Amino acid sequence: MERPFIHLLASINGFYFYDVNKNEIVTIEKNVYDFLTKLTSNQEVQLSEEVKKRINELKENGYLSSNTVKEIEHPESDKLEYHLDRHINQLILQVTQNCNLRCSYCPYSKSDNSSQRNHSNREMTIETAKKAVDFLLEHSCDSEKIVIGFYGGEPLLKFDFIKEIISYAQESFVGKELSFILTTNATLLTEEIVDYSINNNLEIVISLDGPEEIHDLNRRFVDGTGSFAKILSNLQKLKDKYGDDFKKILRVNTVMDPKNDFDKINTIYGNEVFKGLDSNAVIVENLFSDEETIYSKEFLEKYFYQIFIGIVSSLKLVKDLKKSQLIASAISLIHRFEMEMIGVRELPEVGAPGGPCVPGKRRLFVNVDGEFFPCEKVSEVSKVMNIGNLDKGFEVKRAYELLNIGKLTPMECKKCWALTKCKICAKPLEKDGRLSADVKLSMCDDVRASIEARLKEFILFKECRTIYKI
Amino acid sequence: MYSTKFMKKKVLIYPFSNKFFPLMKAMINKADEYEIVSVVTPKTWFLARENDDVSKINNSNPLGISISNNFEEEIKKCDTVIIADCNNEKLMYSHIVQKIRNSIELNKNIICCFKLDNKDFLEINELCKRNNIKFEYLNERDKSDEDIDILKRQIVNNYTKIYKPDSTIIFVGKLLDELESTFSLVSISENYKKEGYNVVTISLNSNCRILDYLSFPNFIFELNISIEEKIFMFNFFIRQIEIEYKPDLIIVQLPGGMMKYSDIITNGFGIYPYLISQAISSDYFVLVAPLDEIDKEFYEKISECFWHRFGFKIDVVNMLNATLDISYSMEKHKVILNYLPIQNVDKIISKKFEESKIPVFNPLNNTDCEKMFRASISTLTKYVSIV
Repeated sequence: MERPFIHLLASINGFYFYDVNKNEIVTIEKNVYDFLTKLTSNQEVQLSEEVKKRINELKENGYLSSNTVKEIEHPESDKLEYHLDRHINQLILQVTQNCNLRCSYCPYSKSDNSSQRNHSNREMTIETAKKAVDFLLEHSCDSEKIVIGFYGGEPLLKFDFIKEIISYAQESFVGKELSFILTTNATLLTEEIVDYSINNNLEIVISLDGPEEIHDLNRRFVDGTGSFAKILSNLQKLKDKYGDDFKKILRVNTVMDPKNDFDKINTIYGNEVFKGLDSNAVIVENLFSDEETIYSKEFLEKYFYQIFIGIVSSLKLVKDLKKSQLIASAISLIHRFEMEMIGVRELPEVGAPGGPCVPGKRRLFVNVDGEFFPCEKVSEVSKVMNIGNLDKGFEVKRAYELLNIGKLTPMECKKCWALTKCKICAKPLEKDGRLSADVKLSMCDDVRASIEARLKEFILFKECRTIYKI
Repeated sequence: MYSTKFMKKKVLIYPFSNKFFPLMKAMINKADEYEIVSVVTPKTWFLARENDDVSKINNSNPLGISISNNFEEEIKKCDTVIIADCNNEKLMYSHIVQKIRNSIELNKNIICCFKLDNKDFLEINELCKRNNIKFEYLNERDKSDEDIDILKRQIVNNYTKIYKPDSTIIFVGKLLDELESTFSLVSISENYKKEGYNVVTISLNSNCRILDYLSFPNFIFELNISIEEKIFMFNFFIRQIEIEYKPDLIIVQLPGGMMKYSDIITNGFGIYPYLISQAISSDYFVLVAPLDEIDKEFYEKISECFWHRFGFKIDVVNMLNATLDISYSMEKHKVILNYLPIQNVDKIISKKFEESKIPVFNPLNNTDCEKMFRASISTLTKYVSIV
């Protein structure tokens, strides 16, 4: 029997395999699991009649196929020109490279950082911004909804500029749903800005790391003083004035530094000002830094306990269970993964790992000079991440390379059971001015482990419904 | 003096979109009635450069008519403004009402396919009368609530069985709700008319009223009518059409997708096509499908499924240049389409479907439309002896 393209899984209640071709998890008996374990690890194996019968049943239903992708190429590759010509969804403008804070983990704040630019006084001109809006108009005729984002540095240093661009876009995009997003440190938020945001479909995303003692460790003004008190005072005034309208336009993005105690970070949402605000939390990245991210025991234990609480809460096992807002996005990722577990017929002949989005289509980032990047999170000094500019348009070949990072490691990708669920994109792969296969391969074990954890969560939810009848 | 009905109108079409585009060839062929002098679209739907062809809005083959974004400039050339229906009604409403008022100020006649609020309709109608401007409103409801109540009572009292129409019935359905099946509808309808058949076409696209198609009856979408009543009412509606128009052929554009696409893209669950299929049976079925390099056996398999579910098989597939963006659609929980260059359709048809048992045609390609028409005549004439 040929080696099936599967990944075996077990829980305290049973045995399973994830069928890569069908994108489904199948329950199996212990003897079938044992047989498949030996088969997939090239051990000598005896096939009993009982197991043979079950294996044949599964094969008749299309499972246990050994089919793999024959060629690595992203399915959107041949449509890339189309997407970039007619279907851009979001534009993010780097309004300024200047910031009134000097956050310790921010790559822009470091002066000796060669993998990312530094804070500077450089700003986008109004002509460049309008040209970018025109470019979006010209390349989005098939997009139903358009989003324009304002990013920095600190974009609120240039609020009049933002207003002018919003008016310009509103005149240009008549007949299409148009919204705006502003990412800010909230130190410059005023009533005028909130009034304007409510009336102009402008969502404000504020960055907050935790309560004062944690937030101020990293997020400090240029003179070294912490920014929390200023943010709290701004938001308190605005909440008093706008009440629920304020919640509609404001979202909190928490960058968790895992060297801190999770429970301490979590106390931020005990503060009345932040209660009920839509929030998202991520763990700080060390992508453009030489410093290793340190995970404290206090963080890890409590974080995973809160994930457990989140799962228990999703299962509605305990009434009125208090769960942390900081794990809301992690729990929503679990549910999203569950929704993506939709059965398919088999893997296509030509396919690619699932990580990259279509560069330039989803979140075209335009820096102060009018240079294009696939999103605001990639390095702005990297040539491989630069996918064109306002004068010359897209460099489709570069975008193709970022979309096709699977081609860096085709042999490994074709054999990998996590191929379609892979989350690696081009962002962390640059090394010495090139996309690196070695860097990519160094991430594979972690990615597979996280996907295996997702599959096990999926099984847990299923078992709770079918075995425990929850 | 000639009636204005027979005077050739020099028309400007606004706001031009993919929803009006399927009518363009038929409008061009009505050269004795319409001269299309301008086509104007908001620049966010398509940013027009000088001499850009209207077909660029849909990434298809040129029709020889330019598209513009400049309403103020283009309106000078016309005597009649066609206000087209579009998919972004709410976002466009105030702009469209303003453009109608501007047109009246410039003494242009109005043909309005766009749905206006009662208040605006009455005001515009009055304004046109005062200024001696012709205002044709082609988006009125086919039946008032009162009419529907009368119809319901008639059906409850007198209707106990499904009436079988004498006319030949063609259904045009679609695999995904968001696909535009009007291309196929117009192509078939106009080809039959050209051959001298008396055709009644029932369309969901309000713009088709310009081609004298009937509106799809709105009672189908009402919430306070039972499913059984709707089926009988639709059957009654067809019966009335036969009495009034004595058609050779009735072509019905089916609302919604034919069946669920996935647990996320539910596609209306194919409820409306099922409901219509119970009201009348179809003699010929055209399935509008997205651009897809799927195995040709796929259509044979779903044809069998349709046979059991609706009582008809697929006679012909019409493949559009719209592809389903699967990953983005899954993420957004709605159908997102990409409109690839039309040449892709011809390429895929010749690569994968030349030998297909169910023929696959490109409804935007004139040769394919002619072939499809001949194929339908050939199939339908086989039924002539069955009374």
